[in-house]
Amino acid sequence: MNVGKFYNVESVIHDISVELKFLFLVLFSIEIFFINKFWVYIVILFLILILIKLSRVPFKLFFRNVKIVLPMILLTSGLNIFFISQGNVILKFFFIRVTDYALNLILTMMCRIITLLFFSLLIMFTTSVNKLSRAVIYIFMPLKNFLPVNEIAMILNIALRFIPVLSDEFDLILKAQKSRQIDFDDKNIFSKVKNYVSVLIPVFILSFRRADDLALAMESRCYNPDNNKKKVLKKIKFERVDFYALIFISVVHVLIFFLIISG
Amino acid sequence: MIKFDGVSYIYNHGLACEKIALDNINIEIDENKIIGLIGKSGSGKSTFVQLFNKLLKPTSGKIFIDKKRIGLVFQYAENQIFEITVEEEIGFGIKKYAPEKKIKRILEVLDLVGLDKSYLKKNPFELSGGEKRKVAIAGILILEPEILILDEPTVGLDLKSQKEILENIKNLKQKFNMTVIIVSHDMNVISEFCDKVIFLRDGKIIFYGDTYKVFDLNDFDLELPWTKKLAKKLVKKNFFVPENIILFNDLVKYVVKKIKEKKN
Repeated sequence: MNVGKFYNVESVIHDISVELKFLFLVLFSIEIFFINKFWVYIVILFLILILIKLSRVPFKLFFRNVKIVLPMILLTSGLNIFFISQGNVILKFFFIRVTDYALNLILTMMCRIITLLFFSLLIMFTTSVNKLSRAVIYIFMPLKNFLPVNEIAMILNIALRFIPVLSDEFDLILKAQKSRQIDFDDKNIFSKVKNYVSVLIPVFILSFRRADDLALAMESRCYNPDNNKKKVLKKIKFERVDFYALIFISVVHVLIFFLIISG
Repeated sequence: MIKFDGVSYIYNHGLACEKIALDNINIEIDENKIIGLIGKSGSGKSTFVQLFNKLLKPTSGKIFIDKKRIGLVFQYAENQIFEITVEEEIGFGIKKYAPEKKIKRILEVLDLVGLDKSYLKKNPFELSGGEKRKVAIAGILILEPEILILDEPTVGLDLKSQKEILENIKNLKQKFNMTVIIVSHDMNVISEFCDKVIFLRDGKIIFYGDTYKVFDLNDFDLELPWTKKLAKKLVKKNFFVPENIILFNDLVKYVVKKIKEKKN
């Protein structure tokens, strides 16, 4: 999985201020839960596809990640179909009753998750971890008297930075266990799960060891998140690309707002 | 037969961040020998060994290996340990064997890596670094590999453990006549234990041949083994040393012989 991996190419989307991108993501994540129409998601997905094209990040990276999550989405959707009985029945097969309401709800939910996933991946691929944590500090700075902003940013930074590291470690241990003839393609689901334990235990141990080492390294370098005197925040410049991005964001949000109201 | 025919491997193929790890590798590797695989970091050594047992599939080219059982011991092999006893850890690969046969095999491989049966019920996580590494290697040896590949088998270990592990590998090779491939940055290890060497640079094979010959290459840009360094210094002082002397004992014998000849 490529989550957390910055895709380093030059593009308009990479150039947009990370604070703006982060703001858009937060607003979008809230708004998306108010959209109930299937076709609106198609329009949003189309807009995201344009943004992906502009970002110069290959589509296959996005699809690879969506493919991993897809079975889980399909499973939850499938379960929902059988448990929602509201609405008109459109399909009846023995005890299974599929209603138009359930179908609409499931399609909307699937679109919601996929749209959010696409958009989050776009932000991940086009923003370096350092910039992302800096954005968190800027955005939450007004709340510093109520929230440990620096700690939150540090935790986010470490969490995001270590996703690719752990993913590589998982991959390496998987290969090492495959070399010991451990069959991860076993058709029996129970032995498959049991075999994956041989990967999960070492990965957990390594993660804890890594966390311990990191904590020691930070302490030995006198890390103190509350020592603000030493922190020099970089002044953000509002570039032309940010201006265009802001116009785009505003138009999209107004559009979404009207679509929600009209719905 | 172990043959690579025009093999290339590219990470993130087709993406902007693609990286050529191996570039048109053509080689037929000698069997039943200890082969050293050397090169700087990022030269493609680890990628090369992962192609042997199909953990990676070449981007282009073909690999012909007529052996079925290929054991690959990764760097920091102790990281793959997950069972709660040494017995279960080593025996995981042969869990379908009958209990008597299984325990017999476990004891055999324990002996091969220089551990005794008192380790069987011990928790592998409580062993020393060298012992853990031996347990991990035993977990591969139990599968009776015809080709054994070790990616930096001694990295991070103390000198005593390093020596023990390498001696065990040498004995294994002699006992089972298997092909052993050792990836290492330590030229002292390579010069002492390997019959032949593959030298990789930027994903290409620069050299494949007898170990002693690699150290005399004009463009050899790795650290020389210290016996070879000493031999080169002697040559500079007009004391001829044959190029095939790369082991300390051989060098001492040769120097003593020459001094005696001079006295007579």
